[in-house]
Amino acid sequence: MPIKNNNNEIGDSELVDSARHGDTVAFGELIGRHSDKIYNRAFSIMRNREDALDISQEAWIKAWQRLSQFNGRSSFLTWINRITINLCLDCLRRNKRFNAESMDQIDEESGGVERQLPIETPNPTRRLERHELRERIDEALQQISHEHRTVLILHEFEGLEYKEIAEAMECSIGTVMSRLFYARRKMAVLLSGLRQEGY
Amino acid sequence: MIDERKELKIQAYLDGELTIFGRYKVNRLLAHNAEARRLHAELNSIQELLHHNELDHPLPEDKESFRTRITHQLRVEGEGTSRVPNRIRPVLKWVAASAATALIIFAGVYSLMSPENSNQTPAHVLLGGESIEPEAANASFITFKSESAKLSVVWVDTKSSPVASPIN
Repeated sequence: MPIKNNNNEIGDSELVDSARHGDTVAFGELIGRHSDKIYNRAFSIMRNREDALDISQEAWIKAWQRLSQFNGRSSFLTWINRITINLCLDCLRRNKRFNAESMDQIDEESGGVERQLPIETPNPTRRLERHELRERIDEALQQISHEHRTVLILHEFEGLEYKEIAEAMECSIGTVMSRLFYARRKMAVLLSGLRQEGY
Repeated sequence: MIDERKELKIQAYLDGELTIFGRYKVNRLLAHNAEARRLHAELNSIQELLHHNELDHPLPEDKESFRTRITHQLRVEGEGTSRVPNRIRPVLKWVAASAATALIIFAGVYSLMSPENSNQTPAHVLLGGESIEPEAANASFITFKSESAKLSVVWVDTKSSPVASPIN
């Protein structure tokens, strides 16, 4: 049954049901609702506007093609978010950015420079404006490697457990723990300026 | 300096990834080791800092045109395929493939069991003397194709004698 009007009052699950029956209008409504979030996740991992746009578009088309596989155990947004993350990881593997960077990271991940860094403890006496704080965090994320950033994003922003990250990134739980540790320590160093500014 | 294994244990403690026994061990470490406590504080503060502080990167183009472009692409793709709902398509493919296989087996068995049909190919028997693809005068095989099942079967008739065609 095609959905024509008042889509704002309709829940995602009803739109998904209609889309499963071939209703592109209902699917278009889902795109309208979640396209920003999907693009945002793609951009946060890829750090490239064109790649992020291509991947988010591909994610929507894949979601349409695989709607019959959506079982409703998670929300539609969580489901399509996972499709997007997998596409990003596939793209990074294809581009061999992972491999190129891995060569530089062997030393880091086996107890390299971050282990020698002094421990940073931010001072919570002053709060930066929320947007400014987010921009600073984003700049710091930009400066760490794809592998470290991806682990951090999947854990901190997506709330995935070690095991889930290991499956998504096709690596061991030990590697996830190690990458997450050094990503956090790098972020602590990169954001240490916030300490001087009284954050 | 605490070793790497302990550092990762402290992190796992913070992330809620340890067993009760593992938590007990890290609690003891934190109680007796000042450096472990400093590391725990640092990791904890970074975790809190990142939590709910992801910068939004909105879609860099008009949302409506993005939506229109994708739905248009979906419609174009949809027109290229049948109007059968997605969930029924695999079943139909399976049915078509099974039907084609059954047809071939039936034709083979029938031709073997009927001596009077020994000069005819199974497809001749099954289709009343009409092959699916026209045979050449001197051909000793026929081809069966099913687009829906993505299946092609070539039946080579070794019983029929070759027919010599005159060469001009």
